[in-house]
Amino acid sequence: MRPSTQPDDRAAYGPGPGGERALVERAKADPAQFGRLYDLHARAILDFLMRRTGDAHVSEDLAADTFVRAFSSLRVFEARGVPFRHWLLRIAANLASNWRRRRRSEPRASGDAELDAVPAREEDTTRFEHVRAALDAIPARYADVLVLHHVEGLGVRELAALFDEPFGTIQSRLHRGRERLRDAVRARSERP
Amino acid sequence: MKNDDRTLDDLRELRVVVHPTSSNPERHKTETMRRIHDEAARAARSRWRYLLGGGGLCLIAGLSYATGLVQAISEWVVTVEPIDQETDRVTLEHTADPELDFTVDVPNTETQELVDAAENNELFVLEVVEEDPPQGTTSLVVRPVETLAADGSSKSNEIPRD
Repeated sequence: MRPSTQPDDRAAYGPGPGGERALVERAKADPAQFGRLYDLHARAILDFLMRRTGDAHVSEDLAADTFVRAFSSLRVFEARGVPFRHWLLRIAANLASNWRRRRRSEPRASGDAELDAVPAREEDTTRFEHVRAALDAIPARYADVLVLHHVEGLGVRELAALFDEPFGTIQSRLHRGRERLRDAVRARSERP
Repeated sequence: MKNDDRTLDDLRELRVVVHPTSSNPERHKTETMRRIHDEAARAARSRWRYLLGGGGLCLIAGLSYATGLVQAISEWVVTVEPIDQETDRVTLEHTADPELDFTVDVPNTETQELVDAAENNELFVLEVVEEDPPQGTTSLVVRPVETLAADGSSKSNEIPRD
């Protein structure tokens, strides 16, 4: 496993806040410039979506959707202390939640066809599927902050800026989210 | 408690999961950028549509104003003030007050003609005033016969006689 997209990997964040802002401004005027933003953040978004969905093909589809949606909304993006990658992560988290919800509501013909499509590794699939299932069982507002905080490493302040919520709200959401996640895991393990 | 800690540990362990490198990143970028260019083209088309639509609306508004359509519409929706009977009664009585009689000087040659004409109406009388008018003129006083009340009735200026 390669530790490719941890938030402390500052090099992965690209040209720094000032340079990134300039890049975003250029991309607003010229779609071709958006390719540079893709190069900087695609790997992180793909990995994040892989963690949330467990499916490589779905991750690719959702990552493409994330960038297209980000491009459509680029004019309203203001770098108010929120790095571009965090903004992308939020879009990706929303899309992943929608995908999980859709998948739950759609009857599938045989087994877990989507997850069987391109599993990252067999051991990963079985090892982490119970965590993903527990995350699916709790409301998205809790699952999103839990994953972004505990997995992607965003701080409480960064999450507060990203979700435009007070610091205390994010703290309490994290606290309740952890409780909900434990309950969901317990409920799954007690199931016959 | 041990299980609880393990849940969080498993959650944190998710960070070791990465997208498999076996898939073709270049193809993904090409496909994504194609969609982004399509989106940009669609947005540009929409922008023109909005501009043309806005321009069309401004043109219609200008033509409507120029041709008086706006005036006609504003007349349809003009609000009629309800009648305040008490105020109207005072106004009408004030307007027709005998104290407001006024005097006019008319040329002598037209005096008789005006007096004759006034005899045929019931609203006012013309009377010759025996004063000292400018030379060649006659002073006539115009005096209302009745005052109108707001309720449509009329009352005579003359004091009823028993």
